[in-house]
Amino acid sequence: MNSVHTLTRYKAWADDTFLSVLESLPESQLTAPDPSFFGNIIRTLNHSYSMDFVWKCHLLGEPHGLTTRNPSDHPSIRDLVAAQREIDSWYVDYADSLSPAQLSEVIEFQFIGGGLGAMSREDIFLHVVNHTTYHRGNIAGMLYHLDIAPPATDLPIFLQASVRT
Amino acid sequence: MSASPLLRTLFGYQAWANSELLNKMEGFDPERHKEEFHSALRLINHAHVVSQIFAAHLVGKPHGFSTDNTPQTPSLTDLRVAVAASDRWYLEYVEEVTPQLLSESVPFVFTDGDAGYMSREEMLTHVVTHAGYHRGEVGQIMKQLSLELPWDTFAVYLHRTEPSRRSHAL
Repeated sequence: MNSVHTLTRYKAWADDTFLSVLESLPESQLTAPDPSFFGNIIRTLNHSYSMDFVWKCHLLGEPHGLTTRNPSDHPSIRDLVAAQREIDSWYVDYADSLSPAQLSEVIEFQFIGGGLGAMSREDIFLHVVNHTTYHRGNIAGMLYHLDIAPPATDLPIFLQASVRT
Repeated sequence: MSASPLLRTLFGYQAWANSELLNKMEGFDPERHKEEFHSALRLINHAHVVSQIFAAHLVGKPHGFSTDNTPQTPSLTDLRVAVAASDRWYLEYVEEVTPQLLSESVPFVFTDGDAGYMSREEMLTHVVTHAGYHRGEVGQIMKQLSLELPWDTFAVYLHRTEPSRRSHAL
């Protein structure tokens, strides 16, 4: 297993660990106004999911249909959690399915903010994993404000958990 | 030639993202934002201490830390110098490390006393994801104060350092 395969599995595990806490929170806490990136926890989650979706579309060469990185509406937490778990699982399977040549193949795309971009599939995976990790850090900060301890999602914990299972 | 171009890219990104964030942390008002500034410095210092601990594990040396943060909180200036030096060390390390060393698993002890056993490649990956998470926490603190944030994603890093990516002339 190479680093990309470890990282897509790590992302799926860390997201799931975080979402398990978030899905049990009352709506009032998920939508509590927070002068943060996206206004509250659920919109931050929706931004993170939406960008995963955009990059998935880039990887597949399909249109994503989004015109903003920060959608003003959001699905229910139940639907969002289900969609996030599904797309994380897709990333694991998709990365596993690629040959080394496909991993290093450069994909051309258009940024939502405008302008052209070009990245290898491998770099897109690295972006998606790092991007989600950063926003888990955002949400951790918001959880502390609500007096909720965020779950630990460090890579060593994931590695130990995957040895045991 | 690095044994792992992927790790070389990730540590190039880490050095850039840390520098971008530490520069924007100048935006804290040390008086008005005293508590938040202190929290942000503690978070980056924690990430830095963890990087130092794993640097020691990588080369099999004692790290000398008994916890995952230092009792004293460094100034922003000192922290920026220390983080930049650490990020340079990692860039040199991933340039020189052999494939055999990268895949070798190393036993070590976490600062909480738990036994750890990770390959060097896994340790290096941890250092990058761990620092990224805490940059996100600091970003959250700065956003709450309406301070200017860097746009420090991996995709932005690649396109800033290699502008030809924007021309589709690859």
